[in-house]
Amino acid sequence: MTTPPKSDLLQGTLDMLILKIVALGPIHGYGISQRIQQISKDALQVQQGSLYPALHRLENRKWLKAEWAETESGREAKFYALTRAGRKQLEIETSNWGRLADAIALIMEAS
Amino acid sequence: MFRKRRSEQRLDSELRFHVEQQIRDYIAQGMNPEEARRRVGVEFGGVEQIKEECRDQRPSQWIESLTRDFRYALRQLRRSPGFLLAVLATLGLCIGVNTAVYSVVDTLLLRPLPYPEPERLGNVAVRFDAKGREGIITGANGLMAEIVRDHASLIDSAPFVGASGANFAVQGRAEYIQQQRVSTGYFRILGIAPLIGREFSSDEDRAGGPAAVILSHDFWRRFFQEDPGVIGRAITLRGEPHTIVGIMPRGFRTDSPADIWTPLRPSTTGEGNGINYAIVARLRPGATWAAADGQLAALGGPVLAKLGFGSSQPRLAIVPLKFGQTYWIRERLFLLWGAVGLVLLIGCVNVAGLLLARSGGRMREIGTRLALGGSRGAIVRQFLTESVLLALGGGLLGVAIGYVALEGLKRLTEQSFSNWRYIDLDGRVLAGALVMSLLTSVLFGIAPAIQASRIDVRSVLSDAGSRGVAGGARRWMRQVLVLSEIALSIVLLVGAGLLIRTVAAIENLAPGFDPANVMTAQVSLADARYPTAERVDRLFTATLARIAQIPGVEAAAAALTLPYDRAMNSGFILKDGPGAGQEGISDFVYVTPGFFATLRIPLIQGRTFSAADSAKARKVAVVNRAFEKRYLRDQQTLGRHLDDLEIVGVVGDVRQQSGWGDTEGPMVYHPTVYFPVAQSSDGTLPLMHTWFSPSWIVRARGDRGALIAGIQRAVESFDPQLPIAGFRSIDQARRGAVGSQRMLATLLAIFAALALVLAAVGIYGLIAHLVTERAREMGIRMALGATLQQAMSQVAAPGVRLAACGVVLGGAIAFAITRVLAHFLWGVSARDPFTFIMAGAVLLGVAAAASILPALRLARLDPAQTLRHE
Repeated sequence: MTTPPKSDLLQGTLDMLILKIVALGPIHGYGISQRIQQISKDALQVQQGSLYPALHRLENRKWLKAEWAETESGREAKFYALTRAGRKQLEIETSNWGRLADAIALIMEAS
Repeated sequence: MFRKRRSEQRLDSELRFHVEQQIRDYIAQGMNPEEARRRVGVEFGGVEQIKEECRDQRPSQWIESLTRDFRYALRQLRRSPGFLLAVLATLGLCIGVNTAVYSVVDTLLLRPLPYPEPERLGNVAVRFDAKGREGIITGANGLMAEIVRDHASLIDSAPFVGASGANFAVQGRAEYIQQQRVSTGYFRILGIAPLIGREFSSDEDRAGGPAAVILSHDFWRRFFQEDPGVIGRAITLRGEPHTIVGIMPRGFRTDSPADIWTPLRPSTTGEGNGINYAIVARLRPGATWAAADGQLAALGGPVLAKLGFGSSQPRLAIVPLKFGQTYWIRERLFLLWGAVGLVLLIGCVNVAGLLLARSGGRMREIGTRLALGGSRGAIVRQFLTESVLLALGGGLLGVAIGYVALEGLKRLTEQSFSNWRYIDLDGRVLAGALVMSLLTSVLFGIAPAIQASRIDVRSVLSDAGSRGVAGGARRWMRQVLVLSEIALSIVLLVGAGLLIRTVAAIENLAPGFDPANVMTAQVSLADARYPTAERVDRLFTATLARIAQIPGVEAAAAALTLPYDRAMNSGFILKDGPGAGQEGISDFVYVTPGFFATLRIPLIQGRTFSAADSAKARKVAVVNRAFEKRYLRDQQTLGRHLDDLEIVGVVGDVRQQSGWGDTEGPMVYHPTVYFPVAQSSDGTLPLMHTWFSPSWIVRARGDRGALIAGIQRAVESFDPQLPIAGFRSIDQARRGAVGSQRMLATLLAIFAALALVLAAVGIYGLIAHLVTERAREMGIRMALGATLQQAMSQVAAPGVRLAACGVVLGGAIAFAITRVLAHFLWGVSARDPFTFIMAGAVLLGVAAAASILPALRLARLDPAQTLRHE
């Protein structure tokens, strides 16, 4: 059995993306994976094997809170929302990411 | 429980929602339902695996999985009782002996002494050069003690002696107890004040001062029921009233097993003439070890020059008390510690091999679990859990075995080490054992676990049935493990063999007398009722006459000390002849006239003693060959005088236990002067009896019990108040004299036997595994015409080959390191070929047996059955 590559994402960026998507409003796991795919124009695909452990991890760290609610289609689903701590964490990660991206860009553009 | 089920349901529905939503989306995109379901299934992968990972994110998760793992591990272990038994026995035995030995090492060498500020306590000692190695004796004579007391300003010091037997009269009967003599200041220096009363005054610590005694707490409880009113009362000790001045607190102990303490009354003559004291010291505030040591070195020069150290450059010094109390046993303890460490190592290797073999047999189980979605982490954890369980079980068993082993160790060594009776297994040792056990099995539990989690699921599962090949790497690793086991065992076997040969060599030394059928009975005459030579002589004459009447008795005598025992040594001056005025040191032994005849010590020239050598007659002495060789250089001996004794005879040498300064070996011929007990001087007799308890020596045939009863009656009928301290045959005395060598040899032999058993289990396991693996192949071969012998030798050969390699490797290691044993050996070289060959032969024999035994299973193989399975 070969293990599929879990994610093409940089280590740690998945947590940041999840926080970012959830910050837009309460959303269930399937919705998160769809959103990431849509917004990235199919460039990023999140494997369920990474997504759900990450969601549970963020919930346990009290960055996300979860609630069972009905979807538009009338089914019960687990909706995730950002906590205050999660919002703070998102800010930290966003600024870290900005710095990292700038730094990488500088290096890559150097001639 | 309820919560758990609910959270499981939630996790399940969360994931199911995802799957269903995805399927619905695919259908909406135009896929047919069948196709959509299949595609989602592929994308999603193992649902159980995802669930497992989600569960792992929960903080309380580890407790849940731990209990689950433990339950599973227990079930797994119960399913292979043979493996369980082998691992538990290995761990239990290894940890047991290690715990026992570590308890001893910890108590004697590692733990601080039970006194305040123990790191500032020391012993005054003499350091000297003993043939290239540094020798130390923590002894002093009276003059040294006096100089140290009066001039070593950086230390507070007090001389003392070890405990010796004494008679204590209580309510009309006599008890034999242990009395230790200590100088004033002894308790102050140790830092422990009496519970009640005071310690000895300097007035009491002087010859002729008031007789005082301090009781141990135990003694106080035993004889006075802890009555505090006993202070100031008198007890009868050695036939003399002593006033109780103090009681020591419970648990107080010195390095001797003392019941009571009396003042030492140190002197520079008599016992103080020889190195018979020890000095305990405490650094005064502000003083450093180096400064105190330097001061002692400067003070000691003149007095040491006179002590017959020759060219060995003696130097007075101070050593830490802990070291001073244990220096003579340190090396032996470290050796034992090393030996049990080797046993532990072999045990670890054994457990590792067993775990490895087991993981090999479980490849299919692991493969199945992986295929069903078990994570690799979970499998490693599972293996670890099993290891921890094994370790805990082995550790508990080890503590139990350690307890028994320690009791055995104490019993085995009672005679040589009175201090060991205080040793107990304690919490620290227990913790140490458990840690040791955990480390061992976890360390070796991990390797197979990691290896196991890397297996290729497909190949294991597709490999039909139990025929799974264990893999070359695994077998190679096991072979290395067994090889090292055998090599380590050889090292222990050689070590034990060398020590056994040493004991044999010592015991085979010609004793210089006839030791067969000789019984001895010891008595303490440090008793106010026997203050003079005349009284002592009368006691021996009367009792010997009665003993001679006992049926079976051929001859009887009495002497201050026995062959093999350490004898009293004292200085003397040659009075006449060539070398007149020369000083020397010799053993001195008082004897009754029948002594030489009873022990059958040959007379070489002159005569021995007779009843005519009475107190009123000319004072005479008989010397041995060693004395003649050392001091009289084979010139005219008879008629010469040493001090006021005239030498009238020369006798053969008898073996003595070596004392300080002896470098020839454990058993030596000391220069010895024998003199008639009737001619002992009244001044020195009580001192001799303070140090030595004389013995009756009886050569008799017939029943031992009747003889002992007869001697008891003979003594009682003369003096009912005189308790006999103990009976032992001269053979027992000899065994006591080689006690420390014998103990070391016995223990090492036990450890070597343990190592041998472990190695045998290792080989057996390896070959048994090989037989299982190759049963099919062998079955086919036998079906095709191979004989059972051929098949068996095919499977058993690797074991024997491995053993041969191990023997060679171990032999090489032993050859390189037995030098550390060199100074425990005597009469045998550290590279004694006989020992090496024997060790190799024993191991090869055991290895062959351990290899052939499992190979016998091939005989039960039915070739037809094997073929059908194909």
